[in-house]
Amino acid sequence: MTRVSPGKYLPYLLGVLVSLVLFSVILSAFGYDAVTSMEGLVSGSFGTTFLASETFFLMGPLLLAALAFLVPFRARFYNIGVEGQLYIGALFGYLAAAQLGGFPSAVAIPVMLLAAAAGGTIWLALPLLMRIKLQVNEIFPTLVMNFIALDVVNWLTAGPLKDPLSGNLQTPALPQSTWLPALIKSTQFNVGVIVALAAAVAVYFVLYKTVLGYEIRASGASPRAAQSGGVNVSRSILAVGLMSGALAGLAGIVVVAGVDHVLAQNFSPGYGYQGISVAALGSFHPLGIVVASVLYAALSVGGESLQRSVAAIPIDLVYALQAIIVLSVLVVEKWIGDRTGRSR
Amino acid sequence: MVSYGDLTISILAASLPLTMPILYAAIGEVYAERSGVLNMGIEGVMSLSAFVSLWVTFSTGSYPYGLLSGMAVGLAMGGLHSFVTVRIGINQLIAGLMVYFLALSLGDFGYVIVTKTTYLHVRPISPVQIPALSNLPVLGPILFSQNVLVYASLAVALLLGLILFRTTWGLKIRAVGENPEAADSAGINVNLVRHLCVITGSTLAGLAGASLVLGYLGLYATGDTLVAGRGWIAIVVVIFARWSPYRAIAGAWVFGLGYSIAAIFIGSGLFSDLGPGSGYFLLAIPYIFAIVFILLFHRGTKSPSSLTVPYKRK
Amino acid sequence: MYFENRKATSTTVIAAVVIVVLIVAVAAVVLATGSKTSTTTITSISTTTATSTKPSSSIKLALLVGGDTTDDGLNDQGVQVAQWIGSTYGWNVSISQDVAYSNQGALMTSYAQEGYNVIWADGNQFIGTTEAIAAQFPKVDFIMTPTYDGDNITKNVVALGAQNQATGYYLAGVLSGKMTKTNAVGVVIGQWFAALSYEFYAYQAGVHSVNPSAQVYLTVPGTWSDPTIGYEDATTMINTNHVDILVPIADTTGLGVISAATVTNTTLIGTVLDQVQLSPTSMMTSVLLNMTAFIQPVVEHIINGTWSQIGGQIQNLNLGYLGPFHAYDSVIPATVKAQLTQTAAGIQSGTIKVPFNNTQNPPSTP
Repeated sequence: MTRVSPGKYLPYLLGVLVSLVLFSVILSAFGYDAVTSMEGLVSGSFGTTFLASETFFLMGPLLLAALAFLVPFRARFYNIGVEGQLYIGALFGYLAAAQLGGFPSAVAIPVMLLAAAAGGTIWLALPLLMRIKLQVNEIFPTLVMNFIALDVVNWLTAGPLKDPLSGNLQTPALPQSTWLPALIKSTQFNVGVIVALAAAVAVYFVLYKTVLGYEIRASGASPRAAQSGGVNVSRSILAVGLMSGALAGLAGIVVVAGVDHVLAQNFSPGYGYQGISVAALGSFHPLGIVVASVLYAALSVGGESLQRSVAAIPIDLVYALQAIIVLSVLVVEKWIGDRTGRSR
Repeated sequence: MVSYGDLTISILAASLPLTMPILYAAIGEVYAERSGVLNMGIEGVMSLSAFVSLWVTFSTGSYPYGLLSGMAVGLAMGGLHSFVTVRIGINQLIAGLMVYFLALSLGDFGYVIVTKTTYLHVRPISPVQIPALSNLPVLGPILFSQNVLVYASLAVALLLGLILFRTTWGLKIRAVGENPEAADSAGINVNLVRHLCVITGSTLAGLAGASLVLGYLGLYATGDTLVAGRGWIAIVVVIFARWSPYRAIAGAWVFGLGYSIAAIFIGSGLFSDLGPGSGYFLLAIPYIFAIVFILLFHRGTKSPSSLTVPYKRK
Repeated sequence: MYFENRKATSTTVIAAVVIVVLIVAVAAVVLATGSKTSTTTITSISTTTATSTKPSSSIKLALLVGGDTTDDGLNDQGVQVAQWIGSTYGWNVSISQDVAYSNQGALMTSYAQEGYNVIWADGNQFIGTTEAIAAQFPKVDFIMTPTYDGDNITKNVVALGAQNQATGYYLAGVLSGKMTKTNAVGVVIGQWFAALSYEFYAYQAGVHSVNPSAQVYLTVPGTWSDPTIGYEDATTMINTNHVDILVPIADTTGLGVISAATVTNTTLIGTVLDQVQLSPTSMMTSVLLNMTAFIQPVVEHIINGTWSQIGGQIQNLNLGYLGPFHAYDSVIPATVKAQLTQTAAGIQSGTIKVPFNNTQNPPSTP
């Protein structure tokens, strides 16, 4: 797993190939031309500077959400609450930002990011404690808290925090000093992507180059063996929980401070759940996830372009494709891994 | 102003159709998990089967065909899930989530395509007024004036509970879930049992989706606004029903009730004075129930031991 | 290797069978969609394709709508009108549906940079973004619908004012006031916006102008996308307030309202488009929005190069009117129909004034 060998990528590529074949079959079955559709996906995601910047913007929250799922996953803690944590993180980030108007960006932005990270962690705290202290399986509490988070933010943006001057259900705009600077003018491509990439590198470093990372991976591989080997499994879980919540919170604020510049109802089209797909697509390795997030973002942006185009292919078909790709990659990887004795 | 007595009766009466799809899905998931497989995709399966059953009933005019087609969708999706998890062995959580995305998107896709030419809506099946009993003052409208699918969900829960706890087949399922190695040595085909349980569970999820349309709303809405989280709730119900179809009745009803309270309070205008957006509090009630219940009843909620662990014959 | 023993084979067989079933089902679906003829519909819906095959014009129009386009509602209407423009004027039309909030700016900018001449944002959630983007691209013409009550548009924007539906709802109120047998009618509005409140107050005034003792109930579910809530709220209004006419203004949530009304044989009044197909037996009429009456002059100004005559305007037109009565045609007495015609004429000539009120918060229920 820590060694990188070329043969390791073969199953992955095969999986992508299989899914593209399946996708073409399905497209043709519904009367769409597979080749032009594929071309449309590519040109629709990278064809113009603007589209490419959209793709690379989208990579930010996807990458962060995927990392937020990946880190605890390696310790066998399944945090499917990333969606809710990113909303609460965005909320905390907004609340902080609203107070930071008078400060220069160099101060305001890091504080806002910290607040967002704290928010995400706080939202994960309850399921995390339930797992550590009460041995309650975290899948269900994290899932349910997603819905609660959504309702909380919906309430606040429709009620107490709502901007009285706007017709929309959103807060007033964040102070300019807290806006994440754009990397290419008048595009969505902003510093948030840098944050995400930095997080990916940090996660790689922690997981593979530190003792803590070793303990995390050992806890995930075999909790009992790890425990008897002297690893404090509970502590590992606590560590991944804290990191995970923080990453999820960042995913939320990157969207709010980088693009929307307000906290609006339903600002996330499901990044938290998509992040899980991206993590799987990235073979649960931080650097693989970076690549996977670009691929996944390209599919989303390309799919929207495709829907706008003459062919008017409903974007739901592209969403189905995203699911098929992940499944195909996982299935092919596992199948080949089993045959060659290299499955994890 | 509205009387609280009437309001209570409305809430209780409405809670049962809201319970029905959750219950079907939960029973199915009980079977899947009892055999050791987690199926997280049922929310998507419910949505896809809702669309298919709506379309079939609209096109053919036949409710039985609609129900059957919804169940067929569940069967197919269950086969897909059991193939990738039991046969191939990929992570069950991820597989389930992918099935969720896939089924949800396919349903939305189908709906968008079909509604380019015609709008889909069917009249939900009418409640049956059980003679004599439905005229009882309070219990009448609540318990004895529901539609056939609601009653069927209770019957299915009891029947499947019986099978699980009182037959050899149920014994095999539970054995596979608790200790696959021992079951295998005893001659049980572990993977076959798992395949069948997942497929059965998913078929019931298909029935849940079909019941949501044919037995309650009569329409479909995209973006998962139709099932609206009830599939996830069903998975939570399985836990504090402690993997028993009987207790799932109570568990599903708790959520049906929560949803009913929220919807009817909003509708009766009682909460309009609490400020804009306060309705969202009520919408969060079923989920807050869920967390509280998990907290209160986590002891003794021991899942089947082999849940999420693929079985490999040595 | 695989087939170690016969038991393993049986699981593969089962999996194979299920996959075959799936393939057969997909094939069936494909065949069915191919040969499906549309069922008889009471109203015909235009089914022109997204772009005309031979555009005879080089003008490019982009339409953005936010949500569900399958409920005969506002979004659907936008799509239909845009397609009509494409086939009538030969414009190149691109339609973006389900536009997510955080994507609006990027999408509009994308269109502007791709050389689109006209961008039409159909939905109130686009207001802020349109104001901003229009200011950045002064050479692109922007259209804002359905209700704008701000004062921040640049010269390259034309907006439909917030009062446009009031006339229609006043007439709907008159009709309801005359037709209700229980003297109780109900309105369900997804979320309360000041811009939407014109419709409610006009309706209420219409009801009271012919039936002062009738109660007009209001429910605000707080969401546009939850049919179950809509269903339950409607059922509650029917059971506890005994309303016999329901007016849903609630997109997908409204679908639940329509469902509940159909099941209980409560009368419905639809919104924006003729929604009779959603409930043939219970839909009395719909408050139609003559979007074409607003768009067509705009289109022609663009073609004739006379945009400056409308640029920067907020147009308050009386675009609302009542749609066909369908199944209720024989139920509504001739006297009531006559009264409706007189009222409409009175509004046009100015002898009847439709109140134009709006409030930030909903009124408390009676």
